[in-house]
Amino acid sequence: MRATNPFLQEGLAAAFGRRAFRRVYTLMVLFLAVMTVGIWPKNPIADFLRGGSPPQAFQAVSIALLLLISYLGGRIGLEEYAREDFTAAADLASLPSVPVRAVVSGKFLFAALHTVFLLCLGLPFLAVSVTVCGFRPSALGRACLLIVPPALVVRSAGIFLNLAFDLTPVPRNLALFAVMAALFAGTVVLAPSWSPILLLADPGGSSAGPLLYASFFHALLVLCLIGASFAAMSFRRRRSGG
Amino acid sequence: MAVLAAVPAVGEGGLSMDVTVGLGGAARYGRYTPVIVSLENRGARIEGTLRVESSHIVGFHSQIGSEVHEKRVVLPTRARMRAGFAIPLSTGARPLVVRMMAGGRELIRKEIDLRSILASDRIVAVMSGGASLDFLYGLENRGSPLRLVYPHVESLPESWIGYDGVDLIVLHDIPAGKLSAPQAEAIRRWVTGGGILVVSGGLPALGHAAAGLDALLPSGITGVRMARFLGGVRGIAETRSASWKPLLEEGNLVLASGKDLGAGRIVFAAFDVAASDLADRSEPAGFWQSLLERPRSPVLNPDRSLPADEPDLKAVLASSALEFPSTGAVAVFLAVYGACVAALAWPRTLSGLKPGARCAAFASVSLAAAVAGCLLFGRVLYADAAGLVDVSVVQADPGGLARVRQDTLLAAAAPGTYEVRIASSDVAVEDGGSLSRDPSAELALEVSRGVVVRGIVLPRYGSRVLRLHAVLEFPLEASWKGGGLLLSNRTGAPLRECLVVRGGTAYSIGDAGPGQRTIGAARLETPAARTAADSLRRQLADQTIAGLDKGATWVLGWRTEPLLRVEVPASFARSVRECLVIIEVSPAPLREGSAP
Repeated sequence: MRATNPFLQEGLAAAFGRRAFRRVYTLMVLFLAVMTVGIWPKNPIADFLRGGSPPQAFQAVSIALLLLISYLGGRIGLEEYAREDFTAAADLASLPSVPVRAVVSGKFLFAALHTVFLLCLGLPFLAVSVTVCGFRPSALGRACLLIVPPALVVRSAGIFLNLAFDLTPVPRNLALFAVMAALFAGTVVLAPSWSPILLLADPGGSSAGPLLYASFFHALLVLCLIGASFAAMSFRRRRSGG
Repeated sequence: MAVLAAVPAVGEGGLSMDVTVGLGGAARYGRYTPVIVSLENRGARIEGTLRVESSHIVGFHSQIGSEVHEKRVVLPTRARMRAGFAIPLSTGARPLVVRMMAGGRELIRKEIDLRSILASDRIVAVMSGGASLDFLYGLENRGSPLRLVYPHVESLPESWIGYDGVDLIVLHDIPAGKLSAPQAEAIRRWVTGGGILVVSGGLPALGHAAAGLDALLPSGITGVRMARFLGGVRGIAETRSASWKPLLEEGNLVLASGKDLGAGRIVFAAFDVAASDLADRSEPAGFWQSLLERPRSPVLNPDRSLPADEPDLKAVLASSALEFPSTGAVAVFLAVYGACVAALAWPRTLSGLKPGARCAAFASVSLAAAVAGCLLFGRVLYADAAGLVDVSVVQADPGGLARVRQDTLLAAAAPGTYEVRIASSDVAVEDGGSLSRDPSAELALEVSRGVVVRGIVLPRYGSRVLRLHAVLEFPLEASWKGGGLLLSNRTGAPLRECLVVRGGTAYSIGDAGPGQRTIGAARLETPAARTAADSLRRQLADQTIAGLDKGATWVLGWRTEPLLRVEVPASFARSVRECLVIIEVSPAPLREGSAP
């Protein structure tokens, strides 16, 4: 993989070179493994046939994966891990030789690639539980389409917060939680048909409409956050006299 | 019924249709009933499907349960044909709809209101040229009311299932033609399944051989002589049936004798049961009363929805085919994956590689694990389609027939529409519904050489139970001979892991291959440690042994292949078939006419 954008290279180098990131991957896999084994159906199949309620391991793992990727992605967007490896936003704002466009595109490209990578790490957990829960393997694709866009929204929100404001760790993390609460809990209440949590809870849904609407909604949010990040970075550049 | 048949429906292209429902115009709630459809085609050749649709109201919420019985029909120009069906009429049955379909179009249709023929009365079917047994209405009646019907020979069903609604059949004489071989066989199977057949003697007995009734009397009638009994001189038929149990005697004359056949009984009355001067006599009245009071427990029951705690079904559900991959298996798989990720995350593992290559290494391991997980837990350890579990209990009877009760559970993790093919056509298929008590959708049965049950729609973790009943040829005999046990197996297949059960104790006697085998008394001294190694077999054998009459001796064994072969044309990774055969040991080798 040849990365020409310095900010993409910077992200990749940190994500696959720094110990903090590697520990995140290991802990993420460990958490999902313990969870999958813990919720693995232990009763005989006959109990599920009698009760008419299938095992929910696939839904639980996919929702956990969504929340985990979103949270970790948001923190990575805020540059919480290996912070010393990333050029600070304030420094970028004061360097007129570095185009704002390169900064924003590099950071968001890395965000997209790394979100997909985090999904890959969690894919085996979805794969082992998909059939046991009574879904065709195609439900994996649907789950991926439901996990990546909202996770990218949270990650983009983290990047925007990082580029726009010089926040201390506590407000940064509070802001991240607020974004996640709005996106995941808020949509459950206000827009249930677009809620990624509710859509993942019903992966066998035959209609593609809600999936497309939700993806479109999340893509729109990501585009808005890219635009907002660009605007915020440009504003900071102008303010610093660059 | 006469009204139903008298108004034929006329459809497109010169096709007309008559429908006869019930036996002699009578049918019972909660039983199967024969439906005979007569078609006449005066137009162009027709190739299509004849459908009989029965529906009934289920439960308090007035849901409609329905069942469609179909037969493929080819009707050339100027041709007539008759098609027979045996249709379950549940309590709450709605009008029957009979239609002929071709090329997706309805050519002709007839709707039959069942209210005029359906009743809860006990039905006595009398096959007679003219004699009447209406005097039976005058008997003191302790059960539900009687209904006597006199069906025409040509309208008699050719399947034992069609007689399900009848409590007693009286064969008096058949003047116009005779019973066809399938009709006689159907009656024999109905008796084996629990019916009571009375064959009249007297002078009408001389015509029994010509009418095909002799096939129902294992001994045959040797002649009729005149004798004084029941207050007059009458004809009394003689048979070779020395082993039959006397039921009515006068002096040294046996006036009626009976013999159990399977779960039912054949009664031979040596006198003319319809003789008009016998109506007021007390002896025949007592004879009839004893027959009519004998409770008949029907084998079939369209009203029944099988409860999940029914013993056979419990055994089905205990099958090892219905288990998830173990937690240990998933833990090992994920531990291996976790170890791979941890190894890649180890600082020295990928130290020489560029970040992009490291990313590719991580992603490759994850994707490979995902594919392996899909295959291992979706194909190898767990079927991605569905499972089929058959458990059948075959009760062999000395007459060479066997009653088969088979529970077939179709269960699927993933949703889908399935089709079940049953190799035999003379089989009653009862819909046991789903284990989760979800309302059952429509069931379509196509009967040709076998039965195809179509349109079984299963949701995620859905199930459908079908209970099959059949009476089939199964020449297996067991009898005591000189202190040993003689097993005569002419079924063509061996019985495995046989047990002899006496007084509730099981003795292992090994396999019984085709042919004759004598088991010495010494083999029957050490009880079997356990009835079977497999849990499903053990549970099924234990519950069957617990239900056996402890005063008799029984032989139990396992067939590798069930008598009713059920297949699902789909890619099934799992199917479990267990077939338990039971036979009661006769006191002596069975030879007609020989006294025990």
